[in-house]
Amino acid sequence: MADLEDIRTRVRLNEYSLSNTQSTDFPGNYPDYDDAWNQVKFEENFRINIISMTDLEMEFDMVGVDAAVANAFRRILLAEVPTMAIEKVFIYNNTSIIQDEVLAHRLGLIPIKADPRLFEYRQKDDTEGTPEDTIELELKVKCTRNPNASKDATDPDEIYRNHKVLTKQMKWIPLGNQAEMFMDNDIHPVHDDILVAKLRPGQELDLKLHCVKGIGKDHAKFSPVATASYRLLPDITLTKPVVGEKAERLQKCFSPGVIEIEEVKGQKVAKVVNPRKDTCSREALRHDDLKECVQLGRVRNHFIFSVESTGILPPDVLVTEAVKILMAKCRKMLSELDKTQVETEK
Amino acid sequence: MFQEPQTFQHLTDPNYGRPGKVQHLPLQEITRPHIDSFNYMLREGLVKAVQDIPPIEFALPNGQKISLNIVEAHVSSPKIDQGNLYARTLDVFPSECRERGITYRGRLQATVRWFVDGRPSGTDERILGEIPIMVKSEACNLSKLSPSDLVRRGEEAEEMGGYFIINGIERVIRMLIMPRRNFPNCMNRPSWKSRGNQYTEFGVTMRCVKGDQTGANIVLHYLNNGTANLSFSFRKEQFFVPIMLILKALVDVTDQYIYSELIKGKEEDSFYKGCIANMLRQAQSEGLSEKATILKYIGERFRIKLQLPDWVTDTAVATFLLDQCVCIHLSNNMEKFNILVYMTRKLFAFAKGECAAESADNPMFQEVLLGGHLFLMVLKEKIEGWLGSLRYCIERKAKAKGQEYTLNQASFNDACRHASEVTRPMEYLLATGNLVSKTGLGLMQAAGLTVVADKLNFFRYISHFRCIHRGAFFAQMRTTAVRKLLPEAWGFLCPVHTPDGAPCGLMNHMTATCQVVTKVFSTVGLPKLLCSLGMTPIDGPAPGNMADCYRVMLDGRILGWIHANAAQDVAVKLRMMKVKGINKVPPVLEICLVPKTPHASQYPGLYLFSTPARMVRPVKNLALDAIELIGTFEQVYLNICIVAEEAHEGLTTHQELSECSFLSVIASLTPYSDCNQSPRNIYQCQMGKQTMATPCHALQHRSDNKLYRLQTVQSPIVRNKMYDYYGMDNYPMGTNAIVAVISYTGYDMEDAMILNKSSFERGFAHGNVYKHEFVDLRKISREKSRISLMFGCKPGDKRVEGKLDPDGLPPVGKLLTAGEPYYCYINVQTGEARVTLYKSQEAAYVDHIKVLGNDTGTDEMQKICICLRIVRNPIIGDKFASRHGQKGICSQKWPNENMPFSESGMTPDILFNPHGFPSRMTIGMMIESMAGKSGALHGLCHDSTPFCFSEENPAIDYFGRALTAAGYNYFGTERMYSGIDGREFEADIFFGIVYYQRLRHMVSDKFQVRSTGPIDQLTHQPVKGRKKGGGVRFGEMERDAILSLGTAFILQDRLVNCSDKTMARVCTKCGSLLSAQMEKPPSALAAASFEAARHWVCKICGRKDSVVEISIPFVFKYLVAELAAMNIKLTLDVKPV
Repeated sequence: MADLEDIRTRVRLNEYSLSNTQSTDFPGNYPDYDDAWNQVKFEENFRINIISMTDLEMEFDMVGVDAAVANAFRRILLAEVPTMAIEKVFIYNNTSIIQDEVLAHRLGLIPIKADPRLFEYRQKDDTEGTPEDTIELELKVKCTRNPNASKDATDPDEIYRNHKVLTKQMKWIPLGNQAEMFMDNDIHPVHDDILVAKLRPGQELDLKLHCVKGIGKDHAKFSPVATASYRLLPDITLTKPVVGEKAERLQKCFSPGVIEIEEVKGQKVAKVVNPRKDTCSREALRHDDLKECVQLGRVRNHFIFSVESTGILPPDVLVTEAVKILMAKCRKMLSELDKTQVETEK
Repeated sequence: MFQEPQTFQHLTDPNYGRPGKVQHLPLQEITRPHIDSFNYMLREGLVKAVQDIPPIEFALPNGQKISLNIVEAHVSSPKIDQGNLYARTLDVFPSECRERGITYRGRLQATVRWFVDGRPSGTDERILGEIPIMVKSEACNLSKLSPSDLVRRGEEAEEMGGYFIINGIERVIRMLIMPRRNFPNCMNRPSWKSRGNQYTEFGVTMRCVKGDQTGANIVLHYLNNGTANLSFSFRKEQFFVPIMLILKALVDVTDQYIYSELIKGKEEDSFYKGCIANMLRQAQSEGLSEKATILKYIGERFRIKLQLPDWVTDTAVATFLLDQCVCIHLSNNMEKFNILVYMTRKLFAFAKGECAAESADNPMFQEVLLGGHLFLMVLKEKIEGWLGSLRYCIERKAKAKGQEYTLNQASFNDACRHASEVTRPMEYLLATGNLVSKTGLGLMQAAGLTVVADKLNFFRYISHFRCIHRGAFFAQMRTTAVRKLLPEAWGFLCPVHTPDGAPCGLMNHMTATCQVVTKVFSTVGLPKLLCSLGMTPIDGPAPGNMADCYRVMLDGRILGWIHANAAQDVAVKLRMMKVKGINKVPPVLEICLVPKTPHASQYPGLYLFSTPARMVRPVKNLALDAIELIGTFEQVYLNICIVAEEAHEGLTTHQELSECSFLSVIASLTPYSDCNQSPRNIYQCQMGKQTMATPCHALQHRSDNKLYRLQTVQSPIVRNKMYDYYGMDNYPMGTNAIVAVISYTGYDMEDAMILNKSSFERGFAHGNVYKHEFVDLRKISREKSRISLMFGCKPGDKRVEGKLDPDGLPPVGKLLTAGEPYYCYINVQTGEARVTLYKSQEAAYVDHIKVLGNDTGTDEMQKICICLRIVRNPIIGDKFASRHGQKGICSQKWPNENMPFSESGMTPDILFNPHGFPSRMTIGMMIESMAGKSGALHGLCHDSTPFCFSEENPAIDYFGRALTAAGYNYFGTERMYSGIDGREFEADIFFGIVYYQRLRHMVSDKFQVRSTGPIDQLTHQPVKGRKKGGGVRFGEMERDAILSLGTAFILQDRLVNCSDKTMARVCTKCGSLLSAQMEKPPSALAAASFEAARHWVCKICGRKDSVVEISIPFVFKYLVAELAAMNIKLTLDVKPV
């Protein structure tokens, strides 16, 4: 029975292959198992543990779901949670070396700190924008020579003024009642030190930038995350005691912190402490003597999520947004299904 | 052997991007042969050539004998006319020529002297014209400029020069393979048999080259009757003369002397002795025994061909002929005699099978025709031509004036004004690569001598200067022998860097270390030095038994004899002096001791070469522990090891400087090329040259037709040592892409690859194409002097309002789409404005516009150059390649969320199909992937120079351990999850970083669609050609395929309906297609234009009811008409269905 349990819950990492990557616990597949979905059981098993969280990054465990559900969250985080990004660049003057369309593309990729939930999507054929769907920024920079620079200076920072165009030079121009709605601090580029362009004396940029709401599916610049992904919880078991030099070698085969060495009766004995930290490089299986002592696997329904935000929204908000989007999708789906039912009944 | 990983030292240098104090030497070395040979031409070459031009002699009607010759000539740097009032400097710089589309040229001045009846009567300095100047040569205004000055002049900081600018286009003179000069080659050519009765395939040829680099070929033929004939050519005509006549005509010696010289050391050979005696007897029997009689005899026969003045004696004619055609590399007749004796001996030895044949296809017997040398040869001929035209002008004037015409300063000046100039012929040569020449200059081809130095990317640009072509003649040859890679080419010509396909093996590239000798060294002291080492001079007493002696030959001159026992010693000593530079032994002297062997091997002797145009390369001389330059001939007789471990004690004399010294510049930049299957490295050399990259930095100062630019370039993480050596970071060529080797979704079959859409959206492989278009209003108006057209718009012109600036030009930064106003000009007289529309279907941004002037600075707004920028970001169908000959087409841009992701959440930029590996065996790419990954993880850049790893220390182990140290799998694989369903893959995915290049082949330039469009006038079938909106040919094979499928409808659709279907009228009675004609309706009837009112009548039968309408292909109708013209009637049997 232990074997069957293993097949049902674990992905096995062998030396040359991988087995049981797919979940097989669907109803009727195993005799004596009731695999029918049942909410009570699901609620019992399902849990989310937040492991760490900062403004930019978050790691949490999602246990008790199938890969399809976990993947749905990942995909939504990457492609469907909206953000605000520069979409239209009005170039009044650009005498710098960087070409207009390249500059516009660069600007588009700059993350803009603005809560997308407070804005609407822009209408398809609207070019002007309204205060409800547009943030306007302005970038006006002119490079000049520094009259106070010493004569033999060669450092561009000293001899020129404004020779680097940075995101901090982008100014928010409130439209309509935006000035009342938002604080000055609410809308600005996430980072103020991104180098947009370099200028030389006499060159200047005079741009008006329109930010709109969009999703990552349309363009990567709208993606709210640097990356969002998950991995399965590694599961390492030592089938035989590993002692002495072998233990030290085993420790090195895994990421730091996975294996600890204990002194037991004057002997060094390896012990699995934190399999979570392992990167699954399967290095241990390359050692002939170690591969017999260790069994590697993964817990198939334990997803370790990691969400790295671009800084526009904190990661926890992103995840809740993703959940909301999935819920909205489900609701849509259900209502569509209802409709078809009504139709068939007719 | 393995070296410590490097850091990005060049990129992280605080001075990166700033012009240095001096230029980067390795890059300058690349164009060295071109520039040095041109400098040679400017300095000694031109002087020698001018001295060598024979004076032109002719008589005036008054009986005066005139002789014209050129005393001296020199070339000055490019300048504009002094009359220019506006110019800040008179110097012309190359960037101006490129921008304006003119030629970079300097004045050629010559001092002409004329003699009347042998008395010097005057000299005059004349300008013969303007000749193209090689950029960065001594006559170029850039020659001594520092990098920052070069940038100020609109050049690259590392400008290498070596090319000419003709009408704004940069052109390089191609280097060509030539037979090694001044060395008699015994050759076996079956085609020689057809040269005449008794002729055999055996011959000894020699390409004799004079000090001014002009050459003439001679062949000594072996005849079946045991005699030999010398063949030489004069003005492209071939002549044959018995060798004995030539020998006797050269020196006044007895037959006994000739006999003994010829059979020295071969006294035992009775057949040979008999042959020589026989030849001497033949000459005797003709009554030709004295030098004087022979000269007279030759002179009489050649007089007509040489076209010398009447007063020149027959003897002088013969002497002139011998001077101009026979062994022209020597000036002394005795020396000519000696070398001809050597050739005769070699010929008989060869014919008798005592020595082996030498092949013209062997690099041993080859040298290079350098740009400067070719330029000089042509220039010499054009100067001669100028002198000829001067004579013609004088004669014409004299003829008109008759007796009273005398040549004085005034009449001379007058004649000079009418003489031709050299500007146009020299420009024509460089602009087209076509040679117009009376003599042919001893070349095998008269076309394709120059090529455009295409600035597509730095690889392509460099390779134009390192390319050596075998000659256009060999491209037509059916046999593959010329294309063979011979072991003798080792170290000189790169085995990897040659195109596949038609020019394979004919177009080679010099290795990175290979140099071409351009300096002429004095060898005056060498004969004396050799004598002191143990050589017996040729006229001295024999050093023993002649059969045991080697001849010593220096640059095609027989110096003397050396005993076999002493020869090795002399060679070693001489080599020591060469390396150490003592006793004025040239450092490029080639010392080839060809030993006697019991087999029929190469004809023995001690051969020395000091002449220019030979390929040489540096190797380490082990005995002296110093760098020595060795030549191609010499190398064959040296024992060179590659690494110190494989040296054989007492045998090995030299060692290679590096294991990669056999690779060209481009080939030495392929990472881990030692791990790839060899053809893949060849493909990479090709693909590297088709990559979109950084073409140049001075984009604003150029007007190239088309320039490709990659916007987001990176420095490779994995690079060869040569990458930093050449400072390639200034011209990066690609992107470090994260590549997963996985077969995913099926869109990556057959070398297709999938791009990550998000990577693309973040700028991956973005690029532009820059196009320059010239608009010359003078060309449009066809007015030379006055200005009749001006750029500008009429105020309030509706057509251009808000679209063009008032100056008639599009505003900079504007996006032009098809049909929009492009520019506008006004006719000054009529005030009429004309708007030209933008025609291209591809939208483009106006990058910048250059307003061009003229040389005098007086033209206003007559010529402009518009630079357009077309955005070419990757789309499906664009081509990409790694640096291992692995090219692929982008087949799909998958969204990021669909891409597989790794344990750490990484998604690849590129999905590469694993099926690309097994058959191609590009292990180097796998190593690069691992090396790139570990480099990125540890923040290093890795050295990928071939041969830096070994069997004992394999690269995969090194990088495997580096990856393990970073917590990754030893084999470079990673656990990945499907981005689509979220499950873990059952297989580990090979995941790493590979440097990817974007190739310039893009669908936007290639796609072709047509539903309807232009048709051919004659056949009414669709025209071909993408540009014209034509179709793709549906040919016989396609027809067969459709037939075999039985899809008749498609067949009819393709071949009739979409092609040339026409409704024709045929008479059912007589079956003629041509007889049906429309009956002329009464003129009163206005309804004549209606179809219904038309009546068709068969002109033959005269019936209306028999004419029916059928549908046929139009060509059939055309065929019927053509046949009718040949009196063939074609009748159709038409029945209603």
